[in-house]
Amino acid sequence: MGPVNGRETALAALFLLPSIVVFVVFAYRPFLNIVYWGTFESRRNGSYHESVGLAQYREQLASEDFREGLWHSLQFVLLTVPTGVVFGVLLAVVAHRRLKGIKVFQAIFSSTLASSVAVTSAVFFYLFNPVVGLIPVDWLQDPDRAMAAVAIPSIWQNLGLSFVIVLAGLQAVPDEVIEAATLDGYGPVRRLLRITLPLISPVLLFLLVVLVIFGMQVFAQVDILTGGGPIGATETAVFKINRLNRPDNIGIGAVYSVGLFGVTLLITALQFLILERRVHYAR
Amino acid sequence: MASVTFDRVSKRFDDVVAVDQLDLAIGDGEFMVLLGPSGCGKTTALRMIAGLEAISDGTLSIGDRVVNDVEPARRDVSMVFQSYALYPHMSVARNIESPLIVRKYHVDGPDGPERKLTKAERRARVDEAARVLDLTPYLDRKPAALSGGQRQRVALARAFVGRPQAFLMDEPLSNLDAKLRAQTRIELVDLHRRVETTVVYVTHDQVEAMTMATRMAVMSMGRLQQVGTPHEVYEAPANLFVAQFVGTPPMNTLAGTVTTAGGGPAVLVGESRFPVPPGLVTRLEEGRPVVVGARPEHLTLADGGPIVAKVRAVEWLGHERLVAATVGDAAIVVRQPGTGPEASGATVGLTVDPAHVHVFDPDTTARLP
Amino acid sequence: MPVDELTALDADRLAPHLGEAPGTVDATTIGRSAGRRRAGLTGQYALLVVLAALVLAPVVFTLIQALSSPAEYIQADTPFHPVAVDWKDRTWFSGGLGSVLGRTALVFVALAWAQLAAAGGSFAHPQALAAPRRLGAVVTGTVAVALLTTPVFGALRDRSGGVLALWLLAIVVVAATQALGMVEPDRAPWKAALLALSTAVAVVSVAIVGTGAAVWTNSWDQGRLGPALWRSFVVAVLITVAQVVTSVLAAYAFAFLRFPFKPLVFAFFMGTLLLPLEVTLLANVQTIRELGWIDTNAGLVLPFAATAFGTFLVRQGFRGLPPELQDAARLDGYGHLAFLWRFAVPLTRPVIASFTVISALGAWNQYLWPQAVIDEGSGQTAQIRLRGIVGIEIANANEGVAAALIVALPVVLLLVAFQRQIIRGLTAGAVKG
Repeated sequence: MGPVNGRETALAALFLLPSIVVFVVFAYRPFLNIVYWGTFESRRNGSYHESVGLAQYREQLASEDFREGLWHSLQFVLLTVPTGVVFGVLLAVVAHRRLKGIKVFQAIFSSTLASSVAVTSAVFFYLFNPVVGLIPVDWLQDPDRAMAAVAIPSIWQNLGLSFVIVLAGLQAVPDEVIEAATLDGYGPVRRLLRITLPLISPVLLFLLVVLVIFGMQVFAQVDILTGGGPIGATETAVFKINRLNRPDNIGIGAVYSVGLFGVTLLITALQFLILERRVHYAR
Repeated sequence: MASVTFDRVSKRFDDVVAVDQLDLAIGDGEFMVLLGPSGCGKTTALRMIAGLEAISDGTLSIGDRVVNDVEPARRDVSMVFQSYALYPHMSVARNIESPLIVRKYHVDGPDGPERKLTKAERRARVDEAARVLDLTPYLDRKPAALSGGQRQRVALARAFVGRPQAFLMDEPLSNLDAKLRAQTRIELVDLHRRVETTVVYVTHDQVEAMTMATRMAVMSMGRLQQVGTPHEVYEAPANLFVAQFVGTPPMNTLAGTVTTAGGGPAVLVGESRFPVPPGLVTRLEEGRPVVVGARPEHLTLADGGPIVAKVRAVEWLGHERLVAATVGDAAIVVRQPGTGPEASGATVGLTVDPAHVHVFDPDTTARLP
Repeated sequence: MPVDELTALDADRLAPHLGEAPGTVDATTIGRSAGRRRAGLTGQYALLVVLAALVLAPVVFTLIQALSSPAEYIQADTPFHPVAVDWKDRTWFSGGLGSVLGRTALVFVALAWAQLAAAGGSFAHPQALAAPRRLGAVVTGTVAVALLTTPVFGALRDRSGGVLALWLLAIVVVAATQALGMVEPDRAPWKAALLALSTAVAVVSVAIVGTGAAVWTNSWDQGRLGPALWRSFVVAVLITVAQVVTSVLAAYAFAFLRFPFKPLVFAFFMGTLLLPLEVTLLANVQTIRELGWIDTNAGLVLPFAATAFGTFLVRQGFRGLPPELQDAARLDGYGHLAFLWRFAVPLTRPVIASFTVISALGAWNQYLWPQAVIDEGSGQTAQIRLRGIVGIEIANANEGVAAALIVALPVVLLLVAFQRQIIRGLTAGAVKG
């Protein structure tokens, strides 16, 4: 691009400043604060904090409560992500064809994009209600079923996003490659498994990572549908963190936040490491 | 090896007629080139042979078999796509092997049953194809690691390995640079000679058609304009379209009227007088409007010649000159060997051998026999 | 503050093209015999219909729930059957001036959109509407709706039997008015009729159900949705404007300006993607508290005023411009600011438009942050308000459901209007090229 220019640097600084300020104040500094706060235990109901170093980290990350929160988030991920990817592929494969009126179906499949987490949760709250809803049994009050019940609205909501992303991937596969496979005698199933899916594997990996990150951060659905219940059966990591947003718990909350950060980072890194090798990138 | 026969085959896409009642018989072992501008239907016709487009009307046969409703994989043809359509995630070897994995073949002779190939048989055929197309050192690479020319050879190898009854090629040279194109033309003709399989080849490049075809079918707007050997098409074009499409620079065509005065029929174009071919069967009446055609290499500069032309520009190519001139309002080009004294703006006389003059009907555009 | 799109479980992140690529070929039916092809086609349509039904089922049930007052059918002991919809108005013209104007305007706009869409235009390109027959269709259609739905409202209120007949009459007449505007020389008449009919069905039904049922106004009043929606709107606009401005400026710096440590600064930007709100929540709330910004627009907007995702997106757009452009502009004497304003931004309008819409979507749908930073009470955004509404009183469940649908409506409209932009923005990260 050329040598560094004093005037351009000044202008660049000006253009970048607003973003940098926001990032420092609301991303980096808070993160450092969080890490730091994790080393403080609160005393006398939050009026005073005592520094205990990493002891609180060790104690809280190992605690039953934190693990439970993490596990619930993980449960949510396991319930929503595989189904999300599979349904996304199913809908996209079915809707990726030259049929009359296909755009209507494509619009319908992508329509769940229009719903927010709060709206989806509200809608399903009433659908799950044993009195006015579809199901006579109250899953939301059943400790064994509650997490699944919380996952279902998100599975539905993710359909739009998954569909739209996988469809874009399919549209990037050249028609002639599929035709060549047809001439080679590959039937529809074989074409899908041996040709199409490998060729859209980067998109699938992307979708997987995005859905996992969304899943680990689940909060609103729990807040609206179950409030964490029954008996804490749906308290996810973020839910617990949000609840720990009080002076007498803020140290613990900070530790949980860092823990969540670490776990999410780890999972994302693992996904890339394990799956990237199997993903084919065309040039 | 087999013939491919189009019997009044049409293809419609909603309201658009892409191929209009095509009657074409491609002989066993021929190298048939479908030539025409974009949108003329040649690629659609090719894809109908492959089975990638459904046939709206008419009958398509490969060999003795009517294949209208036969699945592409069971027609025993193979195709080289314009973009090569290699599987990017598979190695070259796997790409070449691909047609052999699912399909069944008459491995034990044409009268034997069709069966799948064994792993060893597949391996042998892949090695053979690779050897023929000089791909042996690249068998383990992925297509992304190959050059354009190499990828094209992989596409050819994949087409070749199933020993199909017909090779279909959709503008396979268009993605290559000029030098590689000329080289590959020769290699393809050579390959055809060696494997003796029917080839149906689609192109818009008439040089490819002229140099490679045993016969060529010129198409325009979905209709077959003429089919014949390159020589026939060049020397006796069936209509104005063919006359102007085949040959570079294109044939000069001028509108004029017949005159029977002055010692024999001729075509008057303004002040110029074009002789009429001696063997002309059609009766030409006085005053009949016609279009007269003469190829650039058949016009010769001659002082006092019957054709009066005003020189516009002269392009010297080294081995010959292209003289761009106008006869009346019509623009023409004359090919002339070597150098000459003509300068722009000069008025020159041209003459032409009557045997190389073509007369066309201005309404039907057909050549008058 | 890292992009809030990362917190919401909404579609905002990536967007590909929906149904746009003409080469969406299906290899299932190629090369099959005619008979098998037909069977293949019916099978495919069947599958599509089944899947579409599954996707739409929650929406349909929800709509039915919204329209049925639970008290009635709890007694009747049938699930979600619209035993009795509470109808509000007797005629199109009742319910107060605001109500009448509102619903008339709604119908007018809907018909205008339909006519434009049928003519291949959109609100961005409204030239087609200037044609008198189309404008006439919209006007006569609106009048027809107003006049012909009045008896329908009356019949619904009185629970008399002629409802269906009157409803169908309204549909047919409105379809007739629309057909005039939808006939084209190159369009088959049955297609024009179908378009007109579907428009009429949609507009009449929405007009009757959407503006006649009492539940919507009840829900609005009981749920105090007005102030909440307004708050959401204000915050969303502020966030969107802030994000677009900061992202465009930052992207410009990355794409066109030379400065030291550029890769480092870029990494600094991208690093924020690893620090979503969920992780930094507690500290950010504390910061807001210290600044006294609890429950203020500043507190709701400023943490999201910049986004790495947006910067990345716009930067990609800028990089797509031909490099000679900047040289030519410099030769013509344009400085950076002029180049930005006159060239860079106008030429990357699609990308910026996509980002704007996605930004707005994300901002509207936010939940975690507003929840943490707004106290119970008046200043709630629409999404948070839903949490308060969704509750214990099942007797008014239909109002709760209706509230959710009302809050969802702006996004639905946004999706319909800007489908292409949204999809492009969402898949920018997923598919290369």
